[in-house]
Amino acid sequence: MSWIILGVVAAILLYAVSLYNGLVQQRNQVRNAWAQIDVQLLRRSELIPDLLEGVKGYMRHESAIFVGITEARKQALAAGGNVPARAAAEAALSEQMRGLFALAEAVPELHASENMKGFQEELATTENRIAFARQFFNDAVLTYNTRLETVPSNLVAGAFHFAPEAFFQAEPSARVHVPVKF
Amino acid sequence: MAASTAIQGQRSSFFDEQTRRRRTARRLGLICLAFSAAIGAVISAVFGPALLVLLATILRLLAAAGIAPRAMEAARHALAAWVREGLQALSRTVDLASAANRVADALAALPPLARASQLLLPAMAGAVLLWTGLARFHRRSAAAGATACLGAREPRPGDFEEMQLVNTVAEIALAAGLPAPHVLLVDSPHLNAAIAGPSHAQTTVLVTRGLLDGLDRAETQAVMAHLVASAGNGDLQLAAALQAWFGTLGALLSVYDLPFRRGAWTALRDLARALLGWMPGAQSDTVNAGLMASVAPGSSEAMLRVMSLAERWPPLGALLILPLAPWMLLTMFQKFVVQLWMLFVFGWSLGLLWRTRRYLADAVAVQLMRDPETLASALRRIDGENALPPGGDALELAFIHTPAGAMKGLRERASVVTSFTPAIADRLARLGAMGAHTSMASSLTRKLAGLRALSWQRQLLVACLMAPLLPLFGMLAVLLAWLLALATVVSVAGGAMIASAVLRP
Repeated sequence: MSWIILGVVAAILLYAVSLYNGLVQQRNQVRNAWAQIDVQLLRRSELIPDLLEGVKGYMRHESAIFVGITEARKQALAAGGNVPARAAAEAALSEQMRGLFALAEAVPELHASENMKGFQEELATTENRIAFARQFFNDAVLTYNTRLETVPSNLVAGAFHFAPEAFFQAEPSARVHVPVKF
Repeated sequence: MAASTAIQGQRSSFFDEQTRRRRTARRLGLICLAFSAAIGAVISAVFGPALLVLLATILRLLAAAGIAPRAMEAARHALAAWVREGLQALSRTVDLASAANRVADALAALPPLARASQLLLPAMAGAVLLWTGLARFHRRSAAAGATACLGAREPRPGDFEEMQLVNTVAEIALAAGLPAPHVLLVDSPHLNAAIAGPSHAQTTVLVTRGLLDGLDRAETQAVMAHLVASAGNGDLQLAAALQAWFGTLGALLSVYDLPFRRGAWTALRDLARALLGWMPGAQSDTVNAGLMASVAPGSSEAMLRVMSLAERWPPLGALLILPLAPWMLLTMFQKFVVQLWMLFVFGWSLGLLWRTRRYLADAVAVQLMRDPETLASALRRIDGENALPPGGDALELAFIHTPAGAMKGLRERASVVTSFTPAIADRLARLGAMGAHTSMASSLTRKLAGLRALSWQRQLLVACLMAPLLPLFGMLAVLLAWLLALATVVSVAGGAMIASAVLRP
């Protein structure tokens, strides 16, 4: 009889360990996904000066947007690892970049130049990378948070103080659809 | 109104579709595994005893050479006792089965049969080892082999579209949380793309120039999403395991071909080099093609040619052939059973399994893109009988779409009658159910929904049409079962005869 009880206790313990390991794995997945977003955001941040340099010559009279972009970039860099603040700042930057793109479209010399194609593609891939990385991050957060709240993993999560993670939220139309022409 | 509610009724999310396909794939995988174990048992019926005889001979030679003769003799006696036990169990099985005239009596023959199956163990273990080694070789050489078969090249840095392709692949890899695949271009006007590599962590995407020219950015990305999703699902490892399975089967049957075909010798030499890691990855297809040649029906011709010696040089030829007669008989029956099995049983289940994995990758691609429409429109453009670029026949497991045309390359070797990928129309219908609005997909969805609404009438109609064919199918199935049983019995008898050689003093 005592053997049976011992066996049941051991099985429950093993199950709890596997739940705990699963939670740790999910949390690391979230952290890894955050690192991916961070890499992509930094990549954009580093690209912006080059991008601006490329189009500045054609758009002297549009200096307001350059100031706006530089300002938004500074704020995004300042937000660091704080997910909601970073999301808001980066969304503002995305908005500014889209404005720049629209303005660039309207400049005839720029529109005709070979640079424009490369500029469009660079902008599209940068924004897409961020959007896809964010999608992966939010999927990871969703899976992790669901596990935190559902039985039986919520018991383990409560005992070991697993905290829910925040989604990387942006404005509804964040996935930039740059009209790339062929 | 009724039609639209029917469509609404069969709408499904990509999440549900993934769960469903994953479950089906697991079930089909188990079925394939059971089928391979069955064919493995039939082949081991000869190879197991043969390995035991080989072991006994080695022990005897060692004893004769004076290396620990007493221990060698003891080991040989133990081996003989083990074999005798198995053979006795086999003869008991035969006695019980032949005396049985009720089902319960036949069931009583099962425990001794299980006992007799210990004679299969050495060959089964050997085959699993061989399979593991070959799977490792195929995983390592997949990318190099595909590159060599298709003649792929690196993207040109100055080419805008090729650089754009590299960007789209990197983007979609981020969506899947996987490292970005290595991108290679294939200079061919066909519209297709493939993925190769040892695992999802290290992949190579091969894209035809035709695909790049024919699809826009988003559509190309949807195709890449399917391939990356497929790698993420573990299709690369599964493909390597399947290639290795065919290779193992081919290697075992190549042993039978050794007296008749020079190709069998080269194939086994290449196999040894592959297992030792001396074979360059670019030649991985040569290894498999050589091994699988012994499974193809054409390989029996070599044996028939040798047999015709008896007629060409009447007295001497017959004398030469005579000692080979039992070998030939076994070869014939073993190949017969393998070919029947592949054509009627294994090929079908394998095709089903791989098609389910394609649907699964489509559903994951929809999750990555969050947009079923681009994948649907990409698939519609890819559709065509001429989708495989030259050199792609042997790589059918790697492509996003393979036309169901003539059996070539891998499908011919594996006797898979149907295609490895579902028809584009079926895939579009599934994408339609996940929300694609392309005209063709939605019209198909509507058609399917209409059929579903008429389900009982349709079933009645199908039943009426099939009724006259039923006896035919029944006869075919019974005939097939008899042939398989006959070939199996001959193999088992041959194996028992070989095993009894161990018992000779």
